[in-house]
Amino acid sequence: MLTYDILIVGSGGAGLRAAVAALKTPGLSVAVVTKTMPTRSATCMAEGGINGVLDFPGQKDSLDAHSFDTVKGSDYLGDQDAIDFFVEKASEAVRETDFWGTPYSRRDDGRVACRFMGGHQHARTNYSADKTGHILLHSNFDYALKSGVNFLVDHQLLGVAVEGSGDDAVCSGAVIRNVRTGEVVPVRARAVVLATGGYTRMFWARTSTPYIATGDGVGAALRVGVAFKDPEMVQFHPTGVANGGVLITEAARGEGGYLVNNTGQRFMSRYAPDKMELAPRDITARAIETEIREGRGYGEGLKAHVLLDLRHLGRDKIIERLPQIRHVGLLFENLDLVDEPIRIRPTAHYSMGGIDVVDHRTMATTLIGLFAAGECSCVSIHGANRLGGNSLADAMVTGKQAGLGCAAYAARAAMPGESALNRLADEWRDHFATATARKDGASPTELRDRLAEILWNDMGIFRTGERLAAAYAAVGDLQGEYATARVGNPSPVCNSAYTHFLEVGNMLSLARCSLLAAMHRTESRGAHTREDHPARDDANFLRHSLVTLKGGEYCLDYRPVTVTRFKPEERKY
Amino acid sequence: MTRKYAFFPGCVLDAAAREARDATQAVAARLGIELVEIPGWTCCGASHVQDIDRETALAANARNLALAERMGLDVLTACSTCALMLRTARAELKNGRKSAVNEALAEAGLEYRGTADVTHLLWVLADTAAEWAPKVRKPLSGVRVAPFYGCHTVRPPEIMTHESHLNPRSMETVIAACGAQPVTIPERLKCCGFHAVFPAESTAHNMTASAADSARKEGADCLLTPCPLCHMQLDMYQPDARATTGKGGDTPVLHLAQLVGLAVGVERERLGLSRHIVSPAPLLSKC
Amino acid sequence: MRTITFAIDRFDGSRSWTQSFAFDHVPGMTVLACLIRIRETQDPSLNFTASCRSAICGACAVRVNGNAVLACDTMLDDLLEEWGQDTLRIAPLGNFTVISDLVVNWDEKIERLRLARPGLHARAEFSASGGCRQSPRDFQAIQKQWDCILCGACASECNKLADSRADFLEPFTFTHASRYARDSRSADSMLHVNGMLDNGLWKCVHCMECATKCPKHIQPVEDIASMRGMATAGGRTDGPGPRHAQAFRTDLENTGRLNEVKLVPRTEGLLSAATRRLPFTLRMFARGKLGVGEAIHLFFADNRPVEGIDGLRKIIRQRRRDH
Repeated sequence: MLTYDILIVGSGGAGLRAAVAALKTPGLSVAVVTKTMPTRSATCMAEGGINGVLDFPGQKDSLDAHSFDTVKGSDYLGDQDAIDFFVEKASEAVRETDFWGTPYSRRDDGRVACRFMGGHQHARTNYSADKTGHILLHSNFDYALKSGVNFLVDHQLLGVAVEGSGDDAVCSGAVIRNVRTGEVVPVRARAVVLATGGYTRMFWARTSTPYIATGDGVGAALRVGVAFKDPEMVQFHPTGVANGGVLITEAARGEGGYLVNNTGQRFMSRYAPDKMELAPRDITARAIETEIREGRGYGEGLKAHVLLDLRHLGRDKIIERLPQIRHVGLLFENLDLVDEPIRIRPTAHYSMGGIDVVDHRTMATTLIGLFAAGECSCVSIHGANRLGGNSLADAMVTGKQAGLGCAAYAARAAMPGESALNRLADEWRDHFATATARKDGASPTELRDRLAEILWNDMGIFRTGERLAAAYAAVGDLQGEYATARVGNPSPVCNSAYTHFLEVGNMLSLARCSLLAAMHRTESRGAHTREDHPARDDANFLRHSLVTLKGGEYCLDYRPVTVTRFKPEERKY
Repeated sequence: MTRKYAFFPGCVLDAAAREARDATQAVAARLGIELVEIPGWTCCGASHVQDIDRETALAANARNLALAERMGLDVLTACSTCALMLRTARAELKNGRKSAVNEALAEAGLEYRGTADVTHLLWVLADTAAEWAPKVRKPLSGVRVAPFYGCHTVRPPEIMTHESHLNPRSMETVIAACGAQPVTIPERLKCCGFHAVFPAESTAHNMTASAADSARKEGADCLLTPCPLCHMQLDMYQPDARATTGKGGDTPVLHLAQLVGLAVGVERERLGLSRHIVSPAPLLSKC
Repeated sequence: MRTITFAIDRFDGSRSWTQSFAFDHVPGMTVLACLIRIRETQDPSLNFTASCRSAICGACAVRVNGNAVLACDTMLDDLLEEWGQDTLRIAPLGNFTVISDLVVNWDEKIERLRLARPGLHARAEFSASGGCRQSPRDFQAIQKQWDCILCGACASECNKLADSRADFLEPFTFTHASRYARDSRSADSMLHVNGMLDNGLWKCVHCMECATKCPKHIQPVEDIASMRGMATAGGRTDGPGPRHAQAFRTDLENTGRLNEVKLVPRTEGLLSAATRRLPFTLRMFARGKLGVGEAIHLFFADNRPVEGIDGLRKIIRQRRRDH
C-alpha cells in the first residue's frame, strides 16, 4: 500500500506551507495530494496583502494592536489566545517568506511595503503590487520544489480513514482517486493534514472563489465525526460582478466609484452619509441588498443588481489606475467601464468556519493524527468576520503550524493498520460503479444551481429563522434527489463529471450544516445578520457552533469562545 | 505616387543573399519605389549581440535609426530579423532609453528623435498590391507557391504590428497579385531553425526538412520567404537537412522579391536565380 | 440565430476523435464560458480544467485554431473576428502529454521546473527571522517574471520543444530561473543559470512564440537572452552558441558588419569548418553564393569598415562606460 509519514491534502498556500514545514523534520516522507496542478487554488486570487506587524523604530503599531483589531473584527467570536499566537506568527511569516524569495513591494529604504486595509488601526498589510496572493502561492510552490516536496497531482480526496474506535481511534490515511485513471488509491499515513480551502462554492452562482473551492476536506472530516465549526459564518464582499460574482476590488470605490440604484441615486448617502461608498464591507453589502429588496435595484431574483459607476473618473484615470477592474468588466459583462456602469451585487467571498481545530499550535483536530490548515480549518482566528489581509496570514501561519504539528506527531506515532483504508477504498470503488451506472435521475449541476439559489435567498446577507428552517428542509430534499442523481459519464478515465458529482454532494452536506447552525444562532454577529434577532447576544452566543454528522443526522453543539484580554464591547468603527 | 525609403539591406543581403538585394532593388525600381541605402549602416545584432550585450546592440541600432532620420526617410528592410531588431530598438528607445542612448550618439554627432518608422519590403508590397498588380507582365498562373512567413515577420505582435500574427495574409496577397496560387503548408508560420543552426543543429535540420517536405507534398513549386535568413536556412541547408532526416532536398526557395520580379518582368539574370543551392529551374520553366 | 461550432479534439485515454458542438451565439462570452456551457448542456463527459475564471490561476489554457489562449481571458467574439469564421478548432496545449480531451499532464513539467532551482538562496546578510532588504528598483527588475501563472501557453507553440523536449525546457522554466538569477537578494545567480545552461539555454530558436502567447505579456525569450548574457559575463563562453554571439559582436565592433566567412570557424572552430562543413562550403562556391577569392580575402583580411566606424566605436565605448 502507498505509504507516507505525512499526507497533505491541498496545494494552496496552507498546504504548501505545511509540506515545507513538515520536511524540516529529517527522515519524514511527505506527499501533497491535489486535485489540480498545485498553483490553481484560491490563494492566488488574494490581492490586498498579508498582515503582519514588522517592528521598526518609531512605529505606533504593535502585535497587541493587530490582536485587538482581529478580535474586534471577528465580532468577538475569535479565540483570543489563538489570535495572540496568530499575530506573532504572522509577523514572522512575512520575514520568512521574504527570505524564501517572495518578492514584496518595497519602501525606499528596502523594507517590505505595507498598506492600510479596512478594520485596521494601522497600515500593516504587506503587499506585492495588487497580486500578493499569487506571489505568495508561487513563492511557496517554488520553495516546496526546492525542499523536495512530492506531489500527487490530479488526485481527488474521497475520504479520511479511521483505524480503531472510541478513544483508540486514529486517522490512518486517506483514500484518493487518481482522476486521470479512475483508480481508487488507499494511502496510509501516520498523519494527514487537510488544507483543501473554503466552501463558499456552495453559493455557486454568486461567489468570488474558484470553481475548485468546494469544501472537500470539510466534508471528509465531517464524515469521520470531526465537527464543522461556525459553518454559518460566510463573508460577503459587497462588489461582485452581477454575472457570476467575480470580485471587483475595493480599489474601485477607493478611487471614487459611485454605487447607484435604479432611480440614479447614490444610495449610500442613506446608510453611511459620511463615508458614503467607502463604508466597511458589511455595511455596504447590506445597503446594496436593502436597495434590491426594497425595489430600487435592477432585475429579478439571482439576477438582481445595482450599478457601480466609474464614468465620472474619466477615461485616463480608469485606464491608469483601474486596468484590472476594467478588464473584469469586459470579460464578464462585455462592457467598457469608461462608457458604461457595471452591474454588481455582493458575492460570497470567504469561509470563516471550517474543520474544528482544537490546538492552534499544532492545528490538531479531535481525531488523533488528523490536522487542518488554511481556509478549510477553523481555530477560530476570524470568528464571525475576517479582516482584509488576515487570510494570507492565516494560510501561512496555520499551514506552518500544521506542518510542524503533524511532523512532531508523526515522528512518534506508530504506522497505523490498513484495514480501514482497504474497507473505505472498496466502498468508494462501489460508489463509482453504482453512481456512474445510473442512466437517469437529477443532474448534479442542476442540483448545485438550485442549492446556490436557495442559499443566496435564505442564507445570504439577511437571514430569518423561518427562511433558514425552510431552506434546511429544502436542501434536505435536494440531498434526497442527489442520492439517485446521474453522473453522465461512465468512463473511469479523467472523469471530471464524477469529480464534480462528489463536489456537489459535499456542498449539499456542508450547506445543511451551515443552515442548521445559522437557524439556531438567534443573534446577529459579524457576517451573520438575523433580521429577527438584530442584536448581538453575548450571554447566549459567545460560543462556537459545532455541527457533527452522526448516523446521517446533523447534530449541533457549542463550545465557549476563549476570551482573555479583550472584553466584548459593541463593534463600532 | 513614388515612395522613397532609407534602405537598410542588412549583412546577409550584402553577402550570401546578394541575389535578394539585387532582386529587391530591381523590383523597387520597376514599381517606382526609391531605395536610398543608409550610408554607414551596421549589423542589427541579429538577436545574437542582443543576447550577450544588449547595450551595444541598442546603441548600434539607435545609430542606424538616427542615420535614417538624418535622411528624412522611413526605413525599409528586406530582412525580417533586421526589421524586428530595429523595431525592438525603437520600442526600447521610446520606453525610456532615449536620453541615455542619445548621450552616446552625441559622441558621433548623431541624435535619435524617433521620427523614422521601420517597414518591411513585404508590408509595402502587400499594401500596394492593388497599385502594382496591373504592372504584372507575366502572370505566374499555374505556379503554386507555399508562403513561409518566418517568425520575425509576424512575432511578437506588439512589435510586428502590421497584420494579425495568427492569421496574416500579406504573403498570400503578394502571391495572388503575381498571378500565382498560394499553397498552405503547416509550417507557414513556423521557424526555419536559422537562429540555432549551430547550437541546435538537428532541430534546425528537422525544421528545414519539414517545411521543404510539406511544400513538396502539397504540390508547391517552391517555398517563398520574405526573410533572407529563412532563405539561407531553407535553401543552403536543405541538402544537409535531407542528409540527416531523409526529407526534402529538392524544394526551391524563392526570395519574395524574386517572385515579384518574375511577375513584373524584371530580367531573370538580375534576380540571381542561379545562386540558389536548390535549383529553381523546374519552377522557372513554368514562368 | 447565429450558430457557433467548437470542433473539439477529444481523447479518452485510448481513442482520439474530433467532436463538433454547436451552440447559439451570445455576444460577450469567453471561451471558458462556452466550454462550460457545452459540458453542462451537451456533454458532461467533456474534460477540461478551470478554476479562478479571472486569469490568475492558469488552469484553463487551451489551443484555438492551433494557438494557445487562456480560455477565461479570451472573448469568443474577438476570435470570430480574427479568424473570420464561426467554427473554431479547440485542442489541448501543444508540447504537453494529453490526459483526456483538453486536460494535460503537468507532472513532467513540475519535475523539469526543479531544474531552475526555484526558491531563493538568500545572501548571507539576510535571515529567516529578519527578512531581506531590496530597493524598489531591484524589486521592479524581477516583478514581471513573477507574473507567471504557470498556464503553459508559452510552451504550447514553442518551435524548439515541438522538435525535441529532450534538450530544451518549457519557456516558463527559463523565466523561473531568471527571476531568481536576477534577484538582488540572491547569493549566487549562477546557481540558477547553470541549470539552464545544461538544459538548452543556447538552443532557443528565437521563434518568439513564448513572448507572443503569454497572457501576462512576459517574454521568456528575453529571460533566455538575459541569462545568456549572465552566463557569458560569468565566463561560460564555451560552445557554439556563445561563440556565435561573440563573433557577431566582434564584427559589429571591428567593421560594423558581419564577416560570414569567419563566422563558422569562430563558432565551431577551424577544424570543424574545414572538415565537417567542407561539403557545405563547396556547394556555396559551386552555386556562386560565395566567390573563392572573396572568401580568401574575408578570411585573411576582413570587411572594409563601414563609413563612420569611429563614431560607432565611440558610441559603444560610451555605453559601456555608462553601464
